[in-house]
Amino acid sequence: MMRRILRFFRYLRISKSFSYGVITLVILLILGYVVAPFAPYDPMRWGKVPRDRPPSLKYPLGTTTVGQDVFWLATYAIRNSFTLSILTGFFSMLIASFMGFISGYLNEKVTGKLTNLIIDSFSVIPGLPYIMVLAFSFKEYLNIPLIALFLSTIGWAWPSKQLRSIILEIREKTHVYTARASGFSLFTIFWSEFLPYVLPWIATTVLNLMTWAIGMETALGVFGLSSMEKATIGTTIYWAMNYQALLRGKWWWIGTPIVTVILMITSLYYISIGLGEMLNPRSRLAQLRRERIQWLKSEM
Amino acid sequence: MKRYIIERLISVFFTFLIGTLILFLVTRLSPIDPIDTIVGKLAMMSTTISQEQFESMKKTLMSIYGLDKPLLVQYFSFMKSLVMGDLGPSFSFFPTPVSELIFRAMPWTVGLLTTSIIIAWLAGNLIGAIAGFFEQKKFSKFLEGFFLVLSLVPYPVLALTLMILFVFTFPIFPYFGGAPSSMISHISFKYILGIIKHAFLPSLSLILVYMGASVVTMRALTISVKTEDFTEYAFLRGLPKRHILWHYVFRNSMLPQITGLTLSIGQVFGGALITESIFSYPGLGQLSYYAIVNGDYNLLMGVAFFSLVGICIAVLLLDFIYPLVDPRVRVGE
Repeated sequence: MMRRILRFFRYLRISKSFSYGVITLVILLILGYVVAPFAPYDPMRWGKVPRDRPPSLKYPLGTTTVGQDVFWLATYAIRNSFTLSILTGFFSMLIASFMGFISGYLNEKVTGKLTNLIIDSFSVIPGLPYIMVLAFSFKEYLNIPLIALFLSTIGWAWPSKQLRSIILEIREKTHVYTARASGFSLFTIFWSEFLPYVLPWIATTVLNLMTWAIGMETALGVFGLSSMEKATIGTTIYWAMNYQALLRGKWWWIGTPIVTVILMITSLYYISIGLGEMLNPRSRLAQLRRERIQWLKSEM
Repeated sequence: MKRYIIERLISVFFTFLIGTLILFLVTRLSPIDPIDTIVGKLAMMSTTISQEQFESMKKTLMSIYGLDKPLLVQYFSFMKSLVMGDLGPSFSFFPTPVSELIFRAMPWTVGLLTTSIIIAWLAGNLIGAIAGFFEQKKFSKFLEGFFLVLSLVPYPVLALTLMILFVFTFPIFPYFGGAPSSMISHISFKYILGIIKHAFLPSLSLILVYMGASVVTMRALTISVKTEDFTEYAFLRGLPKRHILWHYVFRNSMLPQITGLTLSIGQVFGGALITESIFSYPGLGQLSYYAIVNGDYNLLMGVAFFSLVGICIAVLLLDFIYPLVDPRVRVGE
C-alpha cells in the first residue's frame, strides 16, 4: 500500500498533465466541500447582494441580476455537480460490473446470453431523449440523487459491453478454472480472481462516467430539466441564459460556470488518462525510464 | 459464416424489440395526458361544449387509440401497426399522422448531420494523424490542447456562444428555420444558398465538437501505432517520412475511427436534439424535443423508432464490414 502511494507521488512529479488534473481537482473539491459551507448567506436566495456588479474585491466573481454572489453560487454548483457525477459513476459502475460480469462469465449459459441481450438493448437507446423524458416526467420531484439515478439507468450500458469483453479474455486463464473447479461462489470468483485485473479499468471508467454525467447535467440544465432549486453547473447556465447575461454583457455570470465546467472536465480527463497509464503494466517500463531521466536530471 | 450472420440478425432483432419496449414504457410515464390536449384543441374550435360532451369525447378518443387498455396490450398493438407502416396520429398536431411529420423533418436532419459528420471526420482524422506523427513538435501539443478543450466544452454552451456571436452581435447568419421562409421551395441558386446559410451555424457547432473528439483520439491512436515494431522498422529502412505517415501509420490508425464513423452515421436518424432546438432547425431533434415537452408519445416513439433502426443497422454493418477492412480479423476466424 505504502509503495502504491509513493508511486502515485512519483508519477505526479513526472507527468505534467496528471499533476495538472490532480491539483485542479483538489482545488475544486476544496472549494466545493470545504469552502462552500462557510457561505455567509444561502447563495440561491435573491437580493442578498447588490445586482449586476462586475468582479471586485468584495465580490470576487461579481453578482447576478437577481442579486446572488457568483462566487458562492459557483462553490455550491461545484459541490452539487460533483456529488451528482460521483453518484452517477458509482451507480452506473455497480450495475455495469454486475451485468458485464454475468454476461461475460456465463457466456455459454442462457443467463449470460439474456444479460448480453439486455446490455445491447440499453446501449442502442438514444440517451439524451430517454433521460429528457424521464426528467420531464418527474420534473416536480427532481433532485440530485434522482438525476444521478436516471443517468445511471442508461450510463451503465457501454461500460458493461467493455467489461464483458475484458471478462471473456480473463476467464480463459488457469487460475480462474482452478477457482471454478474448487467450487467457489460466483461472488468470490469475481472478487478475488477478476477484480484485481479489472480495477484499473474500473477507475478510469468511473472517471469517464463522471465526465459524462457533468456534461449531461449541463445539457439537461440548459433545457430547464435539472434540479432547479439547487445550484448546479447546468442550472447556473440556465438562469444566466434566461436573464440574457451574455447579450447584456454580464460575462462573469455566464463565464464562471463555463470555466468551472471546463476545469472540472479537463481535470477528470487528465486524471483518467494518467491513472490508466500509471496502472497499465505495459506502459510502466516507459514510466520507469522517465523516472530515471528525472532522477538523473536532479542529480546533475 | 452463414450461422454467424443468422445469429447476429436474430440478436439484433431482439435488441431492437427490447429497446422499443423500454422506450415505450418510459414515454408513458409522462404526466401530460395527450387526450386532454386533443380535446382541448377541439374544444377551442367549437364555441360551446358541455361537460358531458367533453367526457364522451374523451372516452371515444381513448378507445380509438386504445389508451384504455393495459400497457402491454398497447405495446403489442403499437408493434402490430408498426409492421404495417403506421405510426399512429400525432397528439399535439392532432389529425396529422406521425409518419408525415417525420418524413417532413427527415431530409433536414439527415442533410445537416451527414454533411457535418463527414466533414468533421475527414478533417479531424487528417489533423489528428499529422499531429500524432509529429507528437514532439510544439504545434502538435497546441493542436491537442485546443481540440481537447473544444471536445470537452459542454455542447450546448458552445452552440449558444456561436449563436450569440454570429446572430446577435455580428448578424451574419439568420436565426430561424432551415430555409428562407419568404421563398417557395423550388430549386434555384438563391434558395440553395439560403439553405446553406441557415445550416451554416448548426453545422459549424457540430463540426467543431466532432472534430475535437476525432483529433484527440486520432492523435492518440497515431502515437501508439508509431511506436509499434513495424513502423520502427520502416524508419530504420530509411523510407521517406511521408510514405511512413500515410501508408504505415495512417492506414492502421484508421480502423477504430471507421467504427466511430459508422456509429455516428447510425445515430443521425435520432436527430441532434440540442443543436436543432437551439438553432430552431426544423429536423427530427426539434420534433422529439417538441414531443417530450408536449407529452406527445406517439410522435416521440416514431422518432425513436427510426433512431433505433439506424443504430441497429449501424451495429450490424460493423460486424460485417470489419472483416472486409481489417484482414487480421479474417485470419482470426
